Amino acid sequence: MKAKNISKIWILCSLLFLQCSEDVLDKKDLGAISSDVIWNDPHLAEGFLNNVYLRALPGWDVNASRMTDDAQGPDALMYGEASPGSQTRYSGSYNAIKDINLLLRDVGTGSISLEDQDLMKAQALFFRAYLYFKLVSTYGGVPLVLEVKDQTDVTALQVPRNKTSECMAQILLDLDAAILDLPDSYDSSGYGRITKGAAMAFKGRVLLHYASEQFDPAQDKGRWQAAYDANSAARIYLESIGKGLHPDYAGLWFDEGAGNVEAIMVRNYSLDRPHNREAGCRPFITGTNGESFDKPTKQLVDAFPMKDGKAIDDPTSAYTYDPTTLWLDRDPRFEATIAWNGSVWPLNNPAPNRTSDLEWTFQQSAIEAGANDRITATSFNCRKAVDGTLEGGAASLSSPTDWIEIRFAEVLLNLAEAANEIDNSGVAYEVLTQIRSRAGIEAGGDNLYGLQAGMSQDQLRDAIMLERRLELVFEGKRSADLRRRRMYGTLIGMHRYGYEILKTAAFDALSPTAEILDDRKVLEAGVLDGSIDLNDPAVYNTYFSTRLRSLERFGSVDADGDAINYLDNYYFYDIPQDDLNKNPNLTQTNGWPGGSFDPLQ
Amino acid sequence: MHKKIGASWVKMIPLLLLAFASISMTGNPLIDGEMEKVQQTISGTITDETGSPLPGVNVLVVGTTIGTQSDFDGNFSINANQGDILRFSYLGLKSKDVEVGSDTSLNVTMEEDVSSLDEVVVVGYGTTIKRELTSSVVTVSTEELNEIPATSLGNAIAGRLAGVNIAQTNGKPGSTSQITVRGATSGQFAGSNEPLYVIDNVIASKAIFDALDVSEVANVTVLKDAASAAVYGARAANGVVLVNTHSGKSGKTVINVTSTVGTTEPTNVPPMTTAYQQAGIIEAQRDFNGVPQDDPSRFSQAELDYLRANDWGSFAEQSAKDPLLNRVAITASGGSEKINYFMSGSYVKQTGDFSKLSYNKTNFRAKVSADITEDLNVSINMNTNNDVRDEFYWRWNGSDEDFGDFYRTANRTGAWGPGVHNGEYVANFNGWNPVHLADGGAGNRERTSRNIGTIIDVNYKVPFLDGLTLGATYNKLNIRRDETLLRKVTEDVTFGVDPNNRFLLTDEVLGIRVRSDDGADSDSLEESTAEEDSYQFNARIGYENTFGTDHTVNAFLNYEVWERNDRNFWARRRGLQTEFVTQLFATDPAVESQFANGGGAEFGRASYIGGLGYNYKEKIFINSSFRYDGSTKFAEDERWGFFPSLSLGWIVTEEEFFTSKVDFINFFKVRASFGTTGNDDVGSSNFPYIQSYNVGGLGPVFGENESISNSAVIGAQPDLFITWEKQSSFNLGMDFQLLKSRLSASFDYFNNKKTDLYGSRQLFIPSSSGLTLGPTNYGGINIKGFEMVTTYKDNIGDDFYYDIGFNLGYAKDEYATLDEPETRRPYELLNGNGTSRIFGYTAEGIIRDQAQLDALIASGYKINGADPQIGALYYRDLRGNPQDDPEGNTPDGVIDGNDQSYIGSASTPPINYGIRLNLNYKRFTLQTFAQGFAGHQRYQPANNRFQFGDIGNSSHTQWLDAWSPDNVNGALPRFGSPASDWNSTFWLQDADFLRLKNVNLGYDIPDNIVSKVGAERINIFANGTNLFMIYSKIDEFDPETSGRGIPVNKTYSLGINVTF
Repeated sequence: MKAKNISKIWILCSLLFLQCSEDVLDKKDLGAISSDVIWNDPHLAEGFLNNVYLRALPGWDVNASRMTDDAQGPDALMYGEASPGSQTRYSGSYNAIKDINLLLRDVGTGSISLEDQDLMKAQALFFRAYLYFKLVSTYGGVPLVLEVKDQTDVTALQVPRNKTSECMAQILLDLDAAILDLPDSYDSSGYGRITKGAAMAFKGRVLLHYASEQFDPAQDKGRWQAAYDANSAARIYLESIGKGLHPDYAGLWFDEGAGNVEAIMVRNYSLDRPHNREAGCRPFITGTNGESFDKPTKQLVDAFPMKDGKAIDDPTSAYTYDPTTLWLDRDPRFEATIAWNGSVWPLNNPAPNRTSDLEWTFQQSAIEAGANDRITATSFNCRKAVDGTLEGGAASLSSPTDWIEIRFAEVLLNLAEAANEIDNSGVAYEVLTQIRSRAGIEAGGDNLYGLQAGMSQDQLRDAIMLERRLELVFEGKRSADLRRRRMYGTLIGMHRYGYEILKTAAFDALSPTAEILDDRKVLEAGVLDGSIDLNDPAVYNTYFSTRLRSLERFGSVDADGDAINYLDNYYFYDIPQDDLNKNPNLTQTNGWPGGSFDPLQ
Repeated sequence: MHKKIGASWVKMIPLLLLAFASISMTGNPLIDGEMEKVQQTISGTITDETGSPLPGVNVLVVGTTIGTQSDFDGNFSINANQGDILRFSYLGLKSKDVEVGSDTSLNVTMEEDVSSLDEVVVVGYGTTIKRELTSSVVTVSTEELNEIPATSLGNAIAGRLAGVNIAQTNGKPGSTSQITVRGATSGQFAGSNEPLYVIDNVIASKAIFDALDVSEVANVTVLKDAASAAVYGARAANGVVLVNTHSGKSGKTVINVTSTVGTTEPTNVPPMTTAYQQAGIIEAQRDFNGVPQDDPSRFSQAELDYLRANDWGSFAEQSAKDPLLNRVAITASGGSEKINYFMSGSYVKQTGDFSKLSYNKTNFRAKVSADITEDLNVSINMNTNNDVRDEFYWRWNGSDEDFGDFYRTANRTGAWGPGVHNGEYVANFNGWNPVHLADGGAGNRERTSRNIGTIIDVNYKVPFLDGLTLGATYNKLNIRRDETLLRKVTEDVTFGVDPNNRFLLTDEVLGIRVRSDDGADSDSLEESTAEEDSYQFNARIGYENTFGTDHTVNAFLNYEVWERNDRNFWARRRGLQTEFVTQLFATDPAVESQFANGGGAEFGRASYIGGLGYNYKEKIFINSSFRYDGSTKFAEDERWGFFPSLSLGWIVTEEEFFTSKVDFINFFKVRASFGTTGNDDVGSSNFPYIQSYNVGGLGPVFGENESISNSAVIGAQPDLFITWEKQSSFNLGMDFQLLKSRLSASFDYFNNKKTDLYGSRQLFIPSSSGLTLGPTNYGGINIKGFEMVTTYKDNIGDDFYYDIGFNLGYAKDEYATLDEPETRRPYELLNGNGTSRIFGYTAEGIIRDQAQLDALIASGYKINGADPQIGALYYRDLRGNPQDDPEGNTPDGVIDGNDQSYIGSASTPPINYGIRLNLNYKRFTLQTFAQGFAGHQRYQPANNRFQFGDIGNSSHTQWLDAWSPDNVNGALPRFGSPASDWNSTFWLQDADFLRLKNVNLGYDIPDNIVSKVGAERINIFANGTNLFMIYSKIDEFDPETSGRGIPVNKTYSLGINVTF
């Protein structure tokens, strides 16, 4: 080849490449899609809405009970030691609200059908209300931001807090709009989405809170009337579409799907999207993790009435309470909720950790050495909503049990509470007896299920709050009730207790070997064949000795430790300093350093 | 031979007779001039060290004008008298003088002139000679590295380049080194501080660089200042690492084989207490806390005796294996007049401290260069690297490349009992069994990485214009990474224990402890693959010519494009049907057990590169270059960046006025450069200026059949104005040679200013907007420093040569522009300070006695709200909380977070240096190299500070000298005392060290033996790397490592190197 030709080819080649240089920089993001695609495709737009669900829909809250007298769990808030900005809900909630506002603005910009648009908007509005209600419950009034703004004009974004009442009005506005467009139910693939019934029940809850002392220490009857009306409407509507109380109190958690008449607002879980509550509730001795989720206190154990609905210290009860065999003849919800040392609790955990269906919480009951600190400190475990059929054994046991955020029972109890406050004790009695009847409490001659007849408004209020505590125990509602009705005051100075159970020499003598496990197996065989009756206090005390133990910080069998000291300003928390720094027009909540915002307005 | 010598003696008999006759008269026959009379024709062949013939060598009879040149085959012929000196000279080779004897045949071997200033230096898009360099460049030739059995190129060159910080932070097989140039840092900003890697003129990546084998590399050059790096302007802000692979040479075929076998051991494993020692620590802690002597948790005498008699060692020790390190490299090169070639193949295998931990790498390269016509040269360079990393799986290793969490826990646990009992893995004492995990108990991860690259290079000398060249380079690169991840449910056995001894395991099986850490995926097989396909095309025109005798001009212009396409695919199936077949098909066929995912990406760059150089009489040099780069990382308006540079050099020793006065300086050059470079590795996504939505993530569960829904998530807010980070650099340097060029040295001073660094501003946007302000280009960091390189080479007699080298780099950085929150108090401010300062408490010491404690308590001193305790560390009270003490200088009697301050100047070493000593005595060579870091501090890692007072754990042995009522002068605070593990000056130590990085002792087998096996040279050698610390301020852990992962290894190896 001649040199001249070669140089010609070279020049041609380079011209060719210069020609395509524009394409070199013309690249697309193959890992993402653009906004116009989103709002033209109903499936993708729904995906955007799904992401709102992901961030806003509540699930199993395993820590809520730590903030009550129901469960063990030292927490700085309980001792009045909240660190500044302890509630971090502020900025995260607004991130989700921004997405909701974006959806409300953009869902109509593409080719999505009006029907689909309305359905998506209604769900989005529900969650905007839901998120604002969480914010208002935490901090009091917050800036109401209802549209997406341009980030370049920062001063326009520096909006002050709206009054609590303004926020509440907006929440109700959004809920009413949502109720209008939400369906009674979805097709089978949409189960778990927000329905009209969920929105109505939630509206009832919102108004109940707003009528309570947290928002209204002066107690305006009008607010209670509004709460009554909303809950009553919810009840009537829900009953009209076939909702009601599930016949099986213990089993209602495992009846998943639209057939569960009691489930009003649900978050689905599956084995691929599981939660870990089960791992933290199952007893450590079964070989599962045994983290300290929902470990019932003595106070909770004592709060359950006897089988006839009367308190354990009520002399009029037909049953006698024995502090050793404290599980005998109790409200059936007791056994559905609490597992004690020696209780029968079938769990699908593998041998050798699992040796029978009997449960043990005494010290050194676990196979693992040095594991006493992982055995429940109260001597009780929570068995509510724990699905014993799931195969346990793995430390990280995953659970698919759905979370029911709103049960029909709550709607009824909300109604009862509001009714009592507007002097309609009839509805209150009607609800309480209905709840107690489903629980399996004996009706008694007066058909009052152990309730005292003719209670005053105050007595009835106490009875309703107790019923809420027991019926909705470990569902995260007690901590909300304590705040809402400003009842933490009644806990101040209290120490939560549990029991420390030790095995005795008689226990050690059950088997000739030195293995505790062998003694345990002999005991189990005896209990199961009836030769050892642990329901006989004398027999029980032969094998176990029980001591009261404080569950509080620095508490033990010998010392009470720190007492509960929930402070008054915790009813409306401080906005984190970081968020205050970002907005000069944002004022701090009253009761906190530099606070000037009155959440009661 | 003997006969021939005899024959020449016969010829000389008359002369000898004459000489003897004159002895009595002069007594000095040796300087008799009579021999000059014999003139003869001397002929022979001139070759280089490898035996290749050297054409064009000048041959001169010294003192005359008689001269000739060797022909193409290296042959020459010249007339000379006996006793004449023949001088052989050739550019780049050492001149050689040979006295003419009686022999008319003379074969000459010429050596490369390695100390010469005419050494060729690779710079971006070309080469120059060292003499003419105007910028700051360092080079290491890999010849002396070939015998180091390093698994990556970076590890082999560590410490040998001034101003280039190369640190190996862990010893897992196949681990690589971190490389930074001139203290490059991005501090709190997002941008990368990695240098740019260029291999054979093609922009590559660190992974490809690490994949190279030393045998295929000719040299590694680092461009440090903007003047040298600006031709790579786009991404050269953090320096450029250039690699040139070997090329063939015309002439005799040379085959070289290097083979080494070695083993490794960790340099420094933090020593841990035995169970017995730890039991003593625990008992002392219980005594202190008033636990009753009869408490059941107390150790019985039987237990203590048993623990004393049984020292199992930590789990790390129990599962340790003898690591092996093998390397074989074969190269062949040669060629004819028009074609030359280079071929290489190498294999490295390294196994690790644990049974399921290994690395191997196979490299091949073939390079052929052909003169297709007189003016046209085409070369093709093909290579592949394959490496395989086989590792045991443990979920909590995550992406932790040094197995830090695993290793530190394995090192801290296990001393209390055997990991294996009755052939079963034991679950007692600890919730895990690392011995089982290291044997692959929880599964296995195999990663392979394969690069296939081809470079075609065309160079054309335009015949009608002298000095004009055209060229094009095309590179096609395919990178593929595969991963097979097998995960298993781990089952360990809980054994019964003796009733009187909690540590004596019985044969009774109490239970099985199951770990399924990955939930439903704990029994699964996963296969993934990721592929990158890219090309780079470069077209160029160059011109170089000398006008008259004084003015030399060169210029070039390049156009370069680069595009890359990525694809990745991933599949997982659960439920392995049998452990013996780890293939996807042999898994649970149910649809709900199968998962797959995949995606892709594309990138592009276009660049115009140019340069202009001028020199006057080869003593004054002016060079300039520019690069104009477009990156798809930025929006169209911000896409293009222009990066120019200018540099000047002046060889003072070329000036008469200087050399006439100073004659001991053989060479002296001063040079200065200034330029800017950029960095487009900013922003978190590939298209940070476009609002995107991400789909494919998992939504919530909906429906009666509980299926996972889809989700669409809005991406980060776009930054329309995101653009290049920039660095402007100034460099001042000088090079000189003294003492007949035996001593040579270079000094460089640099001042780099990084601007437009990408980071978050302190401009607040209210949270209630739900928006977050993304980062912008605004920040600045300044880095200043200097470097020096000196070498001294000489010989003592003919048999002993030595070569001493020293290099040092110093770099100091500081924040120049950084937004700081208004709430930050003066002591917390970062601006004007170093980017890697260390924050912590100032320890005052240990509270050693009651009086001291009482005095502290009496003064109202509280630590974290509690009274101080005896034996604990106590800290200096520096200030109160921000509300009461806005200036941060008023102590409040309370030790809390407010009392932290910057107690260390740097966590990254500002000084790195290397010392080289090479000795050569007859057939022996000894090469030693030491690498050092200085000027930085390190905390003792957390595992050295852990104080777990429970059965199952051990502690660093330094805790044996902790404060106790019986040991009030202990070096450490009381074991378990509150707040004693805080980051404080107590645990902060100067981390300066100098490590003997490499020693290589070689012996050349005598020629008569070598020739019998048909070889040209056989060298046997013993090599040791990381042998010991010559000097280290830290003993408690290896200061180069994280102090938690698998420690850096010492390597001992033996090898042989054969040249045919």
